Amino acid sequence: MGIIKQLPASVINQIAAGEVVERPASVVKELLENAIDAGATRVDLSVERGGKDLVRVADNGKGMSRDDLPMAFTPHATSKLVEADDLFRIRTLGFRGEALAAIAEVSKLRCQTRQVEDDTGSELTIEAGVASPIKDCGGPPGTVIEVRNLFFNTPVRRTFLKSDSTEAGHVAEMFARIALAHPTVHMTYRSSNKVVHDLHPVTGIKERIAIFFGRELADSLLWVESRVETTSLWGYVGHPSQSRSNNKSQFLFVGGRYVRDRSLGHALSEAYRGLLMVGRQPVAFVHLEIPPEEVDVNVHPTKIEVRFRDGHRIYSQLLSTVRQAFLSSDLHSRLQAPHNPLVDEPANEPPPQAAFGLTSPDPDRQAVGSWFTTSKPTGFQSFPSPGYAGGPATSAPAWASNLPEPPTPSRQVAFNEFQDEHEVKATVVANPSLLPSPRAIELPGRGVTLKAIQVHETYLVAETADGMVVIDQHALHERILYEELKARVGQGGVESQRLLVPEPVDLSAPEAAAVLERRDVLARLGLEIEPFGGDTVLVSSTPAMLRGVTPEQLLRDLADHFRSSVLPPTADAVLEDVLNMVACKAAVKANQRLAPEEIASLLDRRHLVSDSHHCPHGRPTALVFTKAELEKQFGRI
Amino acid sequence: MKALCNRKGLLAAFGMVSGVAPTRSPKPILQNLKLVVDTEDGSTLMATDLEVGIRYRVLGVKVDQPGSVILPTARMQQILATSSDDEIAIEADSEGLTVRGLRSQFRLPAEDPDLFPEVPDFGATSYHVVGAADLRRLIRRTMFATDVESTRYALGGVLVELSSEAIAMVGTDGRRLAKMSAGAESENDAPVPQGMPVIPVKALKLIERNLSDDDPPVHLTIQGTTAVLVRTHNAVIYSRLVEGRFPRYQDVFPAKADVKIPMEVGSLRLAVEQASIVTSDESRGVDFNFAPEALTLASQAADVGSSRIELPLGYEGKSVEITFDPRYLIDALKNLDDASTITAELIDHKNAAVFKTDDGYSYVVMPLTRER
Repeated sequence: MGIIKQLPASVINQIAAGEVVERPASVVKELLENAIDAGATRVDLSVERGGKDLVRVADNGKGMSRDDLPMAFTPHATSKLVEADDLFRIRTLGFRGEALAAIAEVSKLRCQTRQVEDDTGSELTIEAGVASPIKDCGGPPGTVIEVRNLFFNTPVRRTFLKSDSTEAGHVAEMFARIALAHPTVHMTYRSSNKVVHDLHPVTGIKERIAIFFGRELADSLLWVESRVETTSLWGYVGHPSQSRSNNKSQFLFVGGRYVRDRSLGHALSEAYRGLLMVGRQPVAFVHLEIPPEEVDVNVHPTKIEVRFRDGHRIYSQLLSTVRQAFLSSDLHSRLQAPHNPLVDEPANEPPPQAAFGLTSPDPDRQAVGSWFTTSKPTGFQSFPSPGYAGGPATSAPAWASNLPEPPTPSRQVAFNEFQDEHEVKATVVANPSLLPSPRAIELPGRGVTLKAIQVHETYLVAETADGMVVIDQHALHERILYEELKARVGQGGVESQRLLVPEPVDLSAPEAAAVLERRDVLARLGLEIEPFGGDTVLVSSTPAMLRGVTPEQLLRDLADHFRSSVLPPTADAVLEDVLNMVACKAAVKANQRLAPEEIASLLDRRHLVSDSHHCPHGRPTALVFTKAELEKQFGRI
Repeated sequence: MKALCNRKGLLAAFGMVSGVAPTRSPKPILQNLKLVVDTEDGSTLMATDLEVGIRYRVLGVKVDQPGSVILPTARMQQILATSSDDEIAIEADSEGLTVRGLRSQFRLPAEDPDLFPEVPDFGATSYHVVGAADLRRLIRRTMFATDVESTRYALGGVLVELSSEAIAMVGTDGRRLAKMSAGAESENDAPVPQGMPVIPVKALKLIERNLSDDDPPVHLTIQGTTAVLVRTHNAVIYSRLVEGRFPRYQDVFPAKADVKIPMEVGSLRLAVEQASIVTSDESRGVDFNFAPEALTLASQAADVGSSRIELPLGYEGKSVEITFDPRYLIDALKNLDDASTITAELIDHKNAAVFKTDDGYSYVVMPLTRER
């Protein structure tokens, strides 16, 4: 007798369970997705001890007939797929037909289901893959699945589970992902008999973001949307002041499914390049809606990874959409003044917005005040027309109709009837005659004369139409220089200083490969290099404008840049790096006293800068303190 | 130790020596100067930062009691500078230091002079002898071309080449190179130094300051491969050599140049200075068009403007157009005698250009190239 044997079905299921069911959160994911695939409008999730003891999902979906019930728990049995070609036009969240079987194999599972047209429901109990006979049961239409004692028959697996609270955290994360993907579904989450979330159906995901990530984050989000051919993209991206140290707050949904995708993650960080500090990750909630034929979700057992047929195009679409949103928005960091408990007292009263009956909860947050007054209206021009927001014309799956409603841009800043009186009192620079006239507010910032004072020889404080702005002189100057340099270099060629003795630079193998691959681009910038055997690169000329930077440092920085970008860098991108270095060296430093004329000139030139919000390193150049916030801090409102 | 010092003499010595003492050091005693007074050997003021050291002969000291004392640099210098006395008495005991003028008295803490590191003296019996004016010229014409930032090569100083009848110094920053040679003599068959001794810029500046053109000849010796000692009229200067490799500078000189154009230094310098007015940090090139009868300098910077300067030439030959960073040329030209002649040796716009004078100076400059 041979030693190779066909495994029993239960072993196969246990092996499959190892892939699909890693921890209680995986069970939660599969059950919630089944509920949504079943067309439920309300889904209740409850867990005990982080899901180790119990995961219970109840939905009001279409339920199953008595005949289908046992089939649902048979491996590779599904209603979501008929033939192999269907794999390439998947509109449901699940399709593999293995999750329920796998879960049933490693737990004590009970399923009660009733279809609307049936009088009685059916109940099936499965323990470690062994099913009991189907019984009648009562209950509302829909399906309730209870998974108890997960991994009770695979003790080793159970020992790999983390503490209850850790597992509960994973469950909560999974819940959040699905809740964000399907905002029109009423979802509740109870953990150990305590209601954690009760999410009423909403049309936009912003409300849900506020619940999961806090009001402050939700209020700082910027709406993005675009459509290229059959691919629609919409959602929110965080204001650059909202950044995280990891990419866990980047939510990318493809066809209502939370996915992780390295290249799209990179597109996001590229879009934020120069706006975030090094090492910080942006926050984003982006839905991608793409014809099912264009994406392969059958890559990963838990479907957390997908393959795009044309990944490059989606990369560029995401990048350009987010960039576009930034260009048309005001990105000044808002000043976070510490809350004084005394001042907080009145602030806890119903906010004045409510008293004035405004629909948008806090318009001043969205339409932040700034000296770029024109950006207020333009910032919202990219909002979709209501007709479009109703959903794309392509065959959209059910969830796609849940397009978030475009926030109504509120320009009603003047809800405070005492405004005029306060404006003079709150003026930092005591010169009322310099208050910008209403006419000036309509004009772009360049027409307005800002009067600024220098504090600590580092910051400039200037008055604006509706508040004040604190500017970091170095950061702003650096940004201005950078833009000026860029314009200047754009006009003429780049000078290159040849070296008397070519300088060998030792790099690591990938670094050397990265720079040598782009020899042509570098040569156009005046940096001529050639291979010198091994990982050594010979530099024979350097950009003349970079006198203080050693060829070695320059080459290393550029190699890092090349390696971190997915797309082949253009000459422009490399030039940008070089210019960044020049600008930083040339800009006024902190602790440098500026004459009033210098301050004026610095502020006058700020309009030359297409993105004056951040210095090339991504630090903010200016903090805005709106008048409304000042008044709040002083307890006036 | 007890001595009566001529105030002006001591102040002058302070001026020469105090620059060597570091303003901040992990070894605080180095921030001071050490004065040694002796009836036989004379009096010496010394300072060192362990890289560079100087022993300076102080004149006009009447010794009551030989010995040595540590003088706090800044305070002592102020005392000397503000006093109007001709002579100042310095007296040190184990308790401290007393400085006494006619109507003033200062009591300063004194450190143990034995803790002050020994500043090497010129002990060699065989050494090279260079004229003081020659050495000054050598240093002045090469030192500016160095690059203290370089990490790959030892460019933070000037290479010294010594033979029994000549001395040459070479400074480069990788973009231009200056070489100056002069005659020298050898005392007691001084050996040709091993390796490539590179004297750091800090020591060169110190040596240059200690020289004046009518001083007696200077003695110079290289100690192994680590240090150089220079004896001038008033001082002995010690310096460690720059560690590292100096590039093979001989390869930098082009093998042959077809075009040789003699020019007057002064007028060339003025023309280059004029042309450099309308350059900027991002666009610093000046186009040099060497043509028969005239050199045309043209510069153009995006937001600065443009310039065009003509310099008549007595040159008949083929034209060469080449772009330079004007600062490189000015650096060299301003250290030359305006009335002297400099000859440009050119090949084409991509190869190094060499400027030569007839007193042993060669200056190699790499041109700029521009993407047009």
